[in-house]
Amino acid sequence: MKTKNICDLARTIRSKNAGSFMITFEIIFADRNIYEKVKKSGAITRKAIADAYKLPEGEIHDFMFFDPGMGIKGNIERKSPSGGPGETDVYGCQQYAPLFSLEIPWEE
Amino acid sequence: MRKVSLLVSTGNLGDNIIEKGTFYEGVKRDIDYFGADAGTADAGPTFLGADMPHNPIEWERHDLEITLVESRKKKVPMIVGSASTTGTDRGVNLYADIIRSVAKERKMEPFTMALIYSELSIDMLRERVRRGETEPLGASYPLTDEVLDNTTYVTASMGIEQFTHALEKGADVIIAGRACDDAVLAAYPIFKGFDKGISLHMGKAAECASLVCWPQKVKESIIGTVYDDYFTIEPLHPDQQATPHSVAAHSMYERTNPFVQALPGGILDMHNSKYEALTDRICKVSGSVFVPSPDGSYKVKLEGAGEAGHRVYHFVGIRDTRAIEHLDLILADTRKKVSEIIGPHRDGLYDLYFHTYGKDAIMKENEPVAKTSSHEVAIVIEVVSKDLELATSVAKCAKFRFFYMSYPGQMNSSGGSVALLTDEPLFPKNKCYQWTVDHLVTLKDPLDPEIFRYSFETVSGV
Repeated sequence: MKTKNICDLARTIRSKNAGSFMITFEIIFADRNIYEKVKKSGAITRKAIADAYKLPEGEIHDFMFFDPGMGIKGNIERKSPSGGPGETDVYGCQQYAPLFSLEIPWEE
Repeated sequence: MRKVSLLVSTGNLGDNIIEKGTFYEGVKRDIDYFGADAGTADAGPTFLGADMPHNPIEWERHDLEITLVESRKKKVPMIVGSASTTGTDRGVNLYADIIRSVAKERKMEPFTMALIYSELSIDMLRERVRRGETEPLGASYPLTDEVLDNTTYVTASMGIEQFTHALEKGADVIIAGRACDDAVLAAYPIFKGFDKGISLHMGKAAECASLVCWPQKVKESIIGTVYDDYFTIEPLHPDQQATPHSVAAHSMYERTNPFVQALPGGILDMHNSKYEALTDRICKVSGSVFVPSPDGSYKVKLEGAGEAGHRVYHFVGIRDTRAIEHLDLILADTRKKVSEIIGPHRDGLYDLYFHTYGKDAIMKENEPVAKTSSHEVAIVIEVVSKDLELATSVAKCAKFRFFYMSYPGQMNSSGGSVALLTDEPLFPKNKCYQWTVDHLVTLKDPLDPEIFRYSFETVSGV
C-alpha cells in the first residue's frame, strides 16, 4: 500500500514543556478531511508514537485525538525537571523530530 | 446584550515588548479592562531559585507604562499576574515601584493599587507538610523536609478568588505574585457576575495574546469579550484571524490535556466546548464549564526551586571520523578515567554530563537514532558540584582525557580532540538551580493570610 509521510499531511508538528516535569507534543492538521483520513487510517496510535521514539508504550501519556483543534497529542515525562543539572532542551521544544518518521497509508 | 471586553497584548509581560500599533488600535475600542500575565516556568528554575529578574527592566517598564497610562485614561482596571516572571515578593515590589514612578512622572490622578504577595515562608510550609496538607502535582515525590532544605524560594499560584477579593476592595490596578494565567484574565468578568467556565476559557484562550490567532504573531493585541453564555476572540492585527481551528488548537499549547484545565477549587471542563466562526476573523466559543472539585477542596499549586551547585562547562570538538566511529567507547572511557583520577571516593560529590552534539545532545535517552552519521561532533562537558574547585578539576580532567583518548584504529598520537575557545573552562555567572517543588497545598480558606498577603495603597502623581 502507498503511504504518505506525516510532514506532507500535517500543518504543525511541535513539542514544548507542559509544566517543568512533562514534555507535550502535537501534530496539527489544517484540513478537516486530511485530519479525519489520518485518524481513520489507524496508523497513529499510542504504540506508533512510542515506536517512533523507541520508548515503551507506557511512557507515552494522555495520547489523544483532539477533534476541535484537528490535533493528535501525546506527552513524555522528563527524566529530570527542566533547566536543572544536565539539561539540554530547557523549553522541551526540539523533542518532536522523531514524529517525522510516521507514515500514513494513503490512496489518493 | 451584557458583555465585558479585555485588551490583552502580551502572553508574557516584559519579555520583549508589546507591539504598539495593535495596542493603540485596541485602545480605540470599547475596553472594560486590561490584563496581562508576566509569568512562566519555561525559562528554567534559575530565576526563581536565585530570585532574580528574567527580563531587562526597561522592557518591564515599557509594557507596564503603556498599559497603566491607557487604563487610567479609560478609568478601567489593569490586572497583572506573576510579576517579574516568577511572582516572588521581589517581583511584586519591582512592578509596584514602576507603577508608582510612572504615576508620578505622568502626574496621574489618584488610584488604588492592590499588591497580592504569594511567596511562601519555607518554615511555614514545613508546618503544612508536617500536617499532611501537601501532595505531589508535577513532581513524582512527596514534599519533605529534605526537599525544602534544598529549596530557596516557593510561590503559590493564585486563582480567581484572590483577584476578586482585591476588586471587591476597590482596586484599580492589581499587581499580583504568582498566578494561574487564565485566572489573571478571567477574574474581572467573574467579579462582574459572568459565568466562571466561559470567563476562564476566555482567559485560557487569550493568555498568550496574538498566539491564539493565525498566522502566528507575538506581542500583538487581541480582544477577548465575555457574554452571558459564550466568549469571542478578535485579533487587532489586520493580517490575523481567530478561527475555530486556531482557538481550539491553542488549548493544546504547552498543556498535556486540551479538554481539562485545573485551577484552585476545580477544573475548567472543555469537553463540550463549541468553536464557531462569528466572522472570518472572530471566533465564538460556548459550552465550557467550571466544575468545582467534588470534595469541595481548594488546592493551590506551589512552585519552588533551589541551588544544585556550581556549574562549570568545557567544550571539545572531534573531526577524526575514526574516533567518531568509536564515540560511545571514548565517552565511556573518558568518564571512567575521570573517576579514576579524581578518585572514586569523590564520585558522589559531582555530576558529570557529556552533551554530544552530532549524536544525542538534544534528546539524550530518548534519541531514537543510535549511530551518528556526522563527520564532526562537539562535546559540551558539564559538571555540577557544591564544590567549585572540584567541579573545575573534573571539567579540566575530562577535557584533558578527550585530548589523549585512545580507540581502535587510531591514527593520531595525541590531540584526539580540539579545545574550543580556550583551555580554561567556562564559568556561568549564575549557579545551577533546579525545580524542587511542584506540589499542591490544600487551603481551608482561599484567602489564607499566610499564603496570600494583601497591601492596598493610593498611588497619586498629583
